[in-house]
Amino acid sequence: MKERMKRALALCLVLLMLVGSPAGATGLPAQPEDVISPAEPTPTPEPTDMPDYAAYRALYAAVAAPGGEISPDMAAAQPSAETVCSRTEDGGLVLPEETGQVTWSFAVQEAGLYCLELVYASGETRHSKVSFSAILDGLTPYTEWEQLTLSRPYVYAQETFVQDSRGNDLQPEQVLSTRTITADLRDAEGKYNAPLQVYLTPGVHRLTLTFTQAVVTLYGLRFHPLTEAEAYETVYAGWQSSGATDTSGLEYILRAESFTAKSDAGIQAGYDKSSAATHPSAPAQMLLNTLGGTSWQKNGQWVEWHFTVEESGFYALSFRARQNSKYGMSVLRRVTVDGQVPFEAMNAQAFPSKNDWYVRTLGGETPYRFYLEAGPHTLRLEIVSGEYESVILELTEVLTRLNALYRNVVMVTGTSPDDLRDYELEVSIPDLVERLQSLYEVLGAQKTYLEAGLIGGGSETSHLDALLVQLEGFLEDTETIPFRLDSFKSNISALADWISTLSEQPLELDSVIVHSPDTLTVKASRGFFRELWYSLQVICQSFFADYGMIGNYTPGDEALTVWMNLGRDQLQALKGMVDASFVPEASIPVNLSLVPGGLIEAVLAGKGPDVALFVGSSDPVNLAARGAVLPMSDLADFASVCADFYPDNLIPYRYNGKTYALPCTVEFPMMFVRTDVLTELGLSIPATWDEMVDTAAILQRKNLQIGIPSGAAGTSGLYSTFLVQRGGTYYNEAQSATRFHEESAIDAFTVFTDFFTKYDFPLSYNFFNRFRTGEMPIGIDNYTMYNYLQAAAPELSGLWTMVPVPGTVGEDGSVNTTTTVLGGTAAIILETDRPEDAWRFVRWFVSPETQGDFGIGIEARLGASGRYSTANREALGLLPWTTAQAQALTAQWENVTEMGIIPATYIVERNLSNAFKKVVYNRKNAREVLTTYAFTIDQEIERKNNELNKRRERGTTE
Amino acid sequence: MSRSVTREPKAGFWREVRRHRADYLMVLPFAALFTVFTIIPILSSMVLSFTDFDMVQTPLFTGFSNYIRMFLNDDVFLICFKNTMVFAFITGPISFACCFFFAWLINELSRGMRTVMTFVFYAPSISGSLYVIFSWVFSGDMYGLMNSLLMELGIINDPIQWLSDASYILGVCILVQIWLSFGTGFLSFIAGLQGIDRQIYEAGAIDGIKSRLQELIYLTLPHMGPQLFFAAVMQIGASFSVGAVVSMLCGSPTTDYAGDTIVTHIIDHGTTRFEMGYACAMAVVLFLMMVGTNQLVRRLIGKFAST
Repeated sequence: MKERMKRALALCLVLLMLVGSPAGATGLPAQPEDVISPAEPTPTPEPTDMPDYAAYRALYAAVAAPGGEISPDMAAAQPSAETVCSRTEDGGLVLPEETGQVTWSFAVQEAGLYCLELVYASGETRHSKVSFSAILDGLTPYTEWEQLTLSRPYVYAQETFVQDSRGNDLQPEQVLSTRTITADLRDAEGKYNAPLQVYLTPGVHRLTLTFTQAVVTLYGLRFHPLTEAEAYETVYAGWQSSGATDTSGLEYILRAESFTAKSDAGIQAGYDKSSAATHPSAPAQMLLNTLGGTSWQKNGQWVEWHFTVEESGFYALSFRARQNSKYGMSVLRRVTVDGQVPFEAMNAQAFPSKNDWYVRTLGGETPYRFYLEAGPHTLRLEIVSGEYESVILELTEVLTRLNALYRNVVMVTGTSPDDLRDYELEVSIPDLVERLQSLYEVLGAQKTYLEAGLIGGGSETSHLDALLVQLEGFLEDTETIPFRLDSFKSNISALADWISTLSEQPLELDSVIVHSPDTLTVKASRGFFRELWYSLQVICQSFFADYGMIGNYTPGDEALTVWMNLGRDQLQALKGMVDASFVPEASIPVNLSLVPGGLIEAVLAGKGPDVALFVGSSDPVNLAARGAVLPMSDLADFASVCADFYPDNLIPYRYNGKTYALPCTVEFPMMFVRTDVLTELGLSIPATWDEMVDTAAILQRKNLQIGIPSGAAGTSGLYSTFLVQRGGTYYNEAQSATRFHEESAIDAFTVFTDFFTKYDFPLSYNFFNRFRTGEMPIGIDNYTMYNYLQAAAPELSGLWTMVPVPGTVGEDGSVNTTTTVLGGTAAIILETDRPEDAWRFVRWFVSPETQGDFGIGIEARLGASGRYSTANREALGLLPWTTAQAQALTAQWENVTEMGIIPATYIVERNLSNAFKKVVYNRKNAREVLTTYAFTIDQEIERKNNELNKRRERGTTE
Repeated sequence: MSRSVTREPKAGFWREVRRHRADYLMVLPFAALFTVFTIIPILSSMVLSFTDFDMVQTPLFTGFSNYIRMFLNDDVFLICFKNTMVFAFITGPISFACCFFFAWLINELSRGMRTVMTFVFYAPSISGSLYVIFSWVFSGDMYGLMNSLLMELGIINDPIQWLSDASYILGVCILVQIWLSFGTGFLSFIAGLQGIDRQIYEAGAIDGIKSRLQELIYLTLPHMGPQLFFAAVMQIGASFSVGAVVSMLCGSPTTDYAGDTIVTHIIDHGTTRFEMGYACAMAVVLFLMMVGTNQLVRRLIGKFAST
């Protein structure tokens, strides 16, 4: 603690000296002129020495707060030439499209740090946030301004919860609220407690907002000094002196799940059956009775409740809450009443972790008094980082330094160092000891700080301990570093994981109670025996209730049976949409169930569904060859439905001239690049495979690697990409034989295997871990890795990018970057007596609107890491990708083709993998190996086709 | 009494049943399950093995074509047959011998120690599919346990793809299978050794048994006939039906079918290739092999122990 104080003091002094002179204030952050100019926004941020907000704030720490405020005139806002916009009667600026750019000019009288307040209303859109970047006088003051967001609140569509036929509450439909909101600009991740501030000098300034996800109406903006809430004692004394007294005998119990508004669609009401005191509860039915939990854990997410009090006077606030998902960790909430933080303590209120429900009154034994006038009020709870702010900021910085240290050591020793050799690390990395020492100190200080307050001992800080012990060992003897490198790496990634969980603050609420200080009837539990009786009832009922069937269930054959081979969250998302949108519109009852696998067996037993969603991409053709699937291409309007997809994505579902399925998901490879590591080594992103080889040489000299999917895992890896880039395919026109004996196929195979024989690329690896440490700065993986990296490796944000795969240079000099699909699923209609209904359902399901809503619904449940990889090209734009990401994806997707599926596809993949292994492991000649296996494959294809033909002939004669 | 003699045999059968109805009632639950889940599947796969059946359409009778294809026109089946034989006649006897040896050793320990060691040896086989941890031990990544160990010791320079290189697959699978096989057979040995009357050893000593080895051969083994036979049956059953270990560790199919057994080949044909008729034919062959080997083992064990 003392150490921290000292350092903070030193920093302040240094800054005072810097800022003290008038010349210093204007010449402060030296900004390169070419950062981002409004004329041509660059899609990928170049690594610059732009400060982050923490550094920026520190620079201006000693600046006095300005007295006045500035409200740039909305009427004077200048939209750029391309921006589509209109004006409302009350002066609002409507930006109806996704993108747009608006500039204001305004004059500042007094120098100082200002917060920026925006007044806006969301338009109808599927994007969950308003996203934009901001520029002041042509410069971005700090990195946080590059990606800013405003929340779009959601409200329930109906007043009360709708119940299904068995009395269970259905998840209510929620709609975007278009009410006007006033909010200070904050950082998108909610890392900082206070709103973002910007330093304005006297004179005329220009503020430009560039929207990537707009659909918003702007009503005004205001620069104002930061307002700090006063201490409770002062506020309370003020209220008392104006004659306020305690109310008595009043209690208003608000059901947390019946909120008025919430900041995110993802914050969900939940079904709790763990306590009889949770209101409402019934042992047999699934009733919505709580709010939040893990769906309400991200910084900045808030929920609002409206309530009305009958008497003016002092009230206390209590919550019936539970926090059992983060053991030993307190979670923080900011409490605002009528849009104001009433006093300083309400900036962050801690809710401790406990296994059971508890009732927490703000202020404890002598509750905080809130003065409320008779009439309506609004209460808001918002997640804030509070005391975690400094911890997370410092630990994230430590993490970056640890990763850099690891990388520097690897560059000297390689990833499998020789134990018997002294690498003289202190010579190759001169500042090694200082770096270790300072990391050790910072980590130690953070651990002490955390254990003193927020985290009550236990195992939560064990990751810090592990690193501390190891760093201590390193300091004692730096010669031990090389052979402890592996565990160093895993300790670093454990720390990284832990930091990202630190910023999650889940809290489950049952009720919010506004009450007189002397009255509180809500209890945490209803007593041991009542709770026991309730639990017994719940257990008994669980034998009879079928929790697998959600929503309305129509018995018998009247309903369309739909099977889905995906997770439970996806099922719930889809079920809600089916009940809310498809069933009323088509008046076809639908029974939706989660059935992983077993489709063939069910068809055999005559118990199969009418429609199956998310079946593996080889199933449709396999079933079609045996006459179990309805050819979709024979159904009405098939061609118009196909227009939503890239034609090549339908290739795998074609068999004998007919199409048997429509794709649900499509996943294709993209290349992920650590721009920071490449910049450090002076490399650029390789665009062709030749450049890739050159880059690999430089990286390997530094003991770093490149990862491309190999054929070691039983699939053909990236072979098909090399093949299509040379204009080849697997099969001939008639799909009766392979084309592997052709020169292009052999050439592609040779080049592909060369990467593993000549250039020594790793055969199997964990891409995520190695990308994170920077050991593998370039890698090709499924594009969904993007979401995973974003969600699970926040410390990398801004240090990496996703680009199309490298291409092959053709004879005419053009670069072919075509690639092939890595995985996908489809929707099929099985042989059914109601093909029209089934077709109507499939058409509804694959339509862009449904796919977009479904994707949003899943993301609301699983977070950004669960982003839906839709096959519908229109729907991609409806998912929360930013415009730049969507463009990068679309650029690659347009160049994605597929190999087709034949009934004997199984033999192709396994033998290509066998061929790969024979070349790479046994160093056999690629040409010879491929032609031998091609012969085996062709033989099996012929046998399979004969078998199917024979079957067909016999079937028709019977 | 004379009346009962003149009764038709069928009536006599029912009368017998009625007389022992309590016994039959007690057997009924098992008999029903055994019929539904064992006898009927065996019989139906025997029927299906003469057909072409793709799981969706009705089976077509094709005579012996599946059997002809199996032995004359399927190279992969021959590889799988060989692998199955390796498992049955190398892994099986080795693990049988190991089971007995360790049981014999453990039997010498004190009571508390015996319980602990029994648990240690028996634990792998009750731990379900815990053997998948071997996919981490033998991971092809350079950070895999075995690779990193060998690289650290300087024995290898590049990671070995234990689970996908055809030269290592069978070896790895045999190792894991032996580790797994200390199952019911092992327990029955322990029980058998416990159950031998101590007086016999005393009598043996008087009659001139000189060493522990003689004791083992002339006294212990002959008295453990039922356990030996039981363990052998269990061990053979396990060795012939090795499949999950291979496909969980090395994928399905393995590289060049190096580790595939008849069971994985059956699964490949039944589920991936939709050729249930052919899969059934192989299952029938496997079944006959198991029955035949059982008979063989019974005779072998009968040579020096009463079963």
